[in-house]
Amino acid sequence: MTETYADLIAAEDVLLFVNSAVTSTGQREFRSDAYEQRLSLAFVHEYVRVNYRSVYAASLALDINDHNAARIVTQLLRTAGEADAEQKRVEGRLIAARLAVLPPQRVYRIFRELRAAGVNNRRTRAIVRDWLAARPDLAHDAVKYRPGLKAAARHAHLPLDRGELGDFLFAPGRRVRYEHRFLDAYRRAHYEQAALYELPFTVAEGFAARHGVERKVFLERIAPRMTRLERLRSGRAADADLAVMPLTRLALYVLSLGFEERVARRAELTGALRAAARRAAGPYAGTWGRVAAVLDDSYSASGSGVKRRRPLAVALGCHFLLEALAGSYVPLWTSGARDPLLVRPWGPTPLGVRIVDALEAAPERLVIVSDGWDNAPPGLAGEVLRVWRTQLDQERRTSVVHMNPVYDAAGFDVRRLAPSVPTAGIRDAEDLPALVEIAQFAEGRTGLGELRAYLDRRVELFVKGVAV
Amino acid sequence: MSRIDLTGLRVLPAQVWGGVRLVPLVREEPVAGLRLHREVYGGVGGVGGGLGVVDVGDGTSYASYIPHGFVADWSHAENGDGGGGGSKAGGESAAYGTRLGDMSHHCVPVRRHHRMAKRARAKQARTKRAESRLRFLPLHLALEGYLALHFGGPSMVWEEWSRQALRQGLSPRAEDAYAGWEVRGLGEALRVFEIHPGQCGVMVYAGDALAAAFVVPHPEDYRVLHPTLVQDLYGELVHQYAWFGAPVPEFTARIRDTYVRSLDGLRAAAEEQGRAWAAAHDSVMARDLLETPYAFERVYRMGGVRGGRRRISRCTASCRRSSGADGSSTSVR
Repeated sequence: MTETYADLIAAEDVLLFVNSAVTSTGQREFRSDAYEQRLSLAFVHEYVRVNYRSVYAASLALDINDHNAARIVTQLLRTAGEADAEQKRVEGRLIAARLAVLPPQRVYRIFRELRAAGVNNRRTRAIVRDWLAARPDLAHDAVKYRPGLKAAARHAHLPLDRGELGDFLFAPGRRVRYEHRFLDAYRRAHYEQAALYELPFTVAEGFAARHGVERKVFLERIAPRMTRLERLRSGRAADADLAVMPLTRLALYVLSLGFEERVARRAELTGALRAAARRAAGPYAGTWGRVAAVLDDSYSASGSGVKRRRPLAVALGCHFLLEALAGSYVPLWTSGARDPLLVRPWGPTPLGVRIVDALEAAPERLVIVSDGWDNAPPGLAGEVLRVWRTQLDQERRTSVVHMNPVYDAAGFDVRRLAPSVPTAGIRDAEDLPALVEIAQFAEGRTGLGELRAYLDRRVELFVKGVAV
Repeated sequence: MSRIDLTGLRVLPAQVWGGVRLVPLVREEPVAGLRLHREVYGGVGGVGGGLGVVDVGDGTSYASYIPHGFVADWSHAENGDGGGGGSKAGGESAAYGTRLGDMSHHCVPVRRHHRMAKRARAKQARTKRAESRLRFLPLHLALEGYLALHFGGPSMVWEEWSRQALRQGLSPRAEDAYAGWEVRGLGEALRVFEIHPGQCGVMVYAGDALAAAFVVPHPEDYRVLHPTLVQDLYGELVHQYAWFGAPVPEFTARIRDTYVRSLDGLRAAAEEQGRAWAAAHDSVMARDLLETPYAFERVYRMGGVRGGRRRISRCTASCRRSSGADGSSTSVR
């Protein structure tokens, strides 16, 4: 009996950690500031690392966000002494696989953190070496992430100092010119305006300021060298960009536009959102049967200054994804909005009443996307779901799942609506199908064994997927 | 009129943040032909910000922290556009955040105000219409009444007191007031508060003691004036309750599942919860406010509004201080 009880707690802890690692980015949220988020997150990380180290490492294979992935990598490398040889082997593979999919600036930051923490064992050096060896063009990194690459090379004792890359980083005055076009462009950009348009956007920006190039002209000419996100941020997104953008990013972009522009570009934006949703749905499209969704567009969905409208964008992304996944679909916004393209974060959160509305459509699945702060009146959503489950739907015709995009720092988890309803954290709407699968574990009917089997399967897929 | 009532206002479920409970009040229909705007006088919170001197009229001056004044505008009604439905075409209202008057201060800025409530006139008096606006200082109007009522002498002839007063002057009496941002948790509670559609007012409770009741004629005005609650004055008890009080429990909905047999029953039970809260609020939480007799004093009568005249009146708890609140408020009715 004691063992199963411990198992139950373990399963709960694991899910709690996955939820927090998916949602929290250590940034300010609507109801808690960055410090609270970081403090709470740091505790959860340490708790899980100490008690369930293998699970802690395995979560690198799940759809957790980059902030937490980076944190897990540093924590694992810092506390290598706590792991045995077998664990270290698995961890090494997971870390390598995760670093390969992280954005390079994040990885360089991890290396810098490791350096600051004085972590410099053979395994760490091997990880740095292998990652750098896999970079497509180190000269590009040397220009764009110069301090990062320099620190990493120095810290891992890499033999970069032979050849022009080494000279570029460590002895900039030694050569008159470089063979590689990036390195040479960087040298010439110091005095030649035309050369800066051969550089990556972020580097060129500094040179442009130094040369006093007018911002408009600069943006016009540097556009081909921008990354897709940079084009999006500078308001130069082309149709081609919209067509390949991930769903949540696209939703954020749509919500950043004014109402007039959204109306004027309705066909284009809706088309792009639908296409992105179909891509995200993949083989599951149209397989979910009758689906109803309660989507939160209350004022708290506006997020915070650093995560602008993130919860609302997740809800909007989920709306289009569910539309693609479902056979028939009933969307219900908490404010009563009908037009998904014109949603705005506004008004209270009467979740309870909306859930009753949704249940009236007798759906097979009910998906609730909300930060869980049900306030008109508080706690009604939980009561409605409880009564529905215990009195009206004992045969479980409807499966209810709650997706929560906001980490509740005080509760060390995402906020739940009712104990009977599985809740999962969500950061990107396109992860919805995978997260719904995880959320099933939270219903308390599946034990730790199944959860571990699930994690092992994900780890296997993840490590293989990257190796192939 | 000797009591305050919430006629025309519907109580919706409260939102709790720490020790502060905010109860939204919603109007079905905005008050026709009357709007309330805000005049910003000083910087927010800084030293010297919002310091003002009011010429009360009888040669007395009243110096205080005056961050803003309100402008009641009934020009909509006189121009016949009547609805107060959001169009500002007919009324001369200052845009939000407009600083009226010259602001060329080199040291501590002090604004001079003439009277607590004063009919606004346009700088260039070209149109008659400018006179359908009234500028008043809501908190200080209330505070003036409060001082007059509670800081005077005893209400009966009391010989010892008179002798003492003649010999030594009136005995000094001190009370503290705190600005909203000094009340712990209030600023945060107002920030995360989700304003309801049609909301025209709010009742603020600190540690479940009434701290403020704030009602305006139109939902759009409320949206603009919502943050001013953090600049208002609060009594010492409010500050202490907020500081020492534990987080207050939320009213949470409870549905008795034994009687629910269908989805319609569930819906009815859910709606019943909202009504239960409103009744509980009116009879328990707001009881002090609604059942205490107040002394009302008409300050100004606004002319010629269709569907009844309006007045600025001030009401003050006549016999005792209601717990927590400074016992007075100003209303536009």
